[in-house]
Amino acid sequence: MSRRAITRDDAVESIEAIRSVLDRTTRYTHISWAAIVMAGAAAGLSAGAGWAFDISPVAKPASFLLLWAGTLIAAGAFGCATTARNARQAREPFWSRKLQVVTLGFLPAAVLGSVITVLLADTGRLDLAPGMWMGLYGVGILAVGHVLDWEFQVTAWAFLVSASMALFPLRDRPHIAMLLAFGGIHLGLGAFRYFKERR
Amino acid sequence: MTTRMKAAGFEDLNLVIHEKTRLAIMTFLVSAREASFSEMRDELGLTDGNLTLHMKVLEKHGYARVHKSLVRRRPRTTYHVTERGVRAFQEYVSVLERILDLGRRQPGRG
Repeated sequence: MSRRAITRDDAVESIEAIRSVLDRTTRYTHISWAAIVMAGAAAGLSAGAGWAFDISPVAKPASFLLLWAGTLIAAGAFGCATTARNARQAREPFWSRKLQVVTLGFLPAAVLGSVITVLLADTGRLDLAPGMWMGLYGVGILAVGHVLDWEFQVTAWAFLVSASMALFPLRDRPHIAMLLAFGGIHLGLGAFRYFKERR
Repeated sequence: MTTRMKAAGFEDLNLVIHEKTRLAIMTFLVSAREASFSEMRDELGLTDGNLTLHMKVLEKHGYARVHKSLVRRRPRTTYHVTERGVRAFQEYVSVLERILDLGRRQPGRG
């Protein structure tokens, strides 16, 4: 095997090269600010509709679930479209290894959230759903935080704090809780990403 | 510094991995375990010829293995890092860490 003497500068340069490759190849950066803003706007509209039409999670559980499932699907579809566009621009496959890591990391929280939602609907306690969704959404983001930029970890903690608010002081105000969390936090993150990408 | 590095066993370095492009390829392969030819070429910003050349060296030393297949009638080349490759990479990184550690303990001598 070929071997030769090494200097400290060689070592520093090599460590930097390793770090640079790992940063470039493991960090997922295709989540578009537009998709995040769209998610926030969709959540804001749905919260407004829920409040305007008095879609209570306890009195009208089916309508409440339909409203937020529709919001999730709309935001998810827009997110997929913008992610695919970003991947195309970067000449990467849409279903890249990095997206697989993000999806698989988020999956446990999503599955658990679905199961508990069914349980809450079954027991007539959908008033607890917004707080539970926020908490598991935060946990899901934290689970994949190591491949995302730091602001996503801050977002995750913001959702965990929101979960506590939604489960206690705002339990009787689900639309306000959803507006503040899924609307406000997403809009804040989207705006931050917009200015960051343009710096 | 040189005397101390020799005493600590740092005088040798695996040149197969230390070469800049191969170091990038090995870092990518060790973190991903396997990757397609096009994925590595695009992620690392290499040309087809350059990547092929360096992969042949890594294959020759038993650090990587190639797998060729047909996907939708199109040829697909995938590379896997071998256990030997992972061990060599770990040993390489460990030598770097020890050198940097030695440098930290000897301020003003690096």
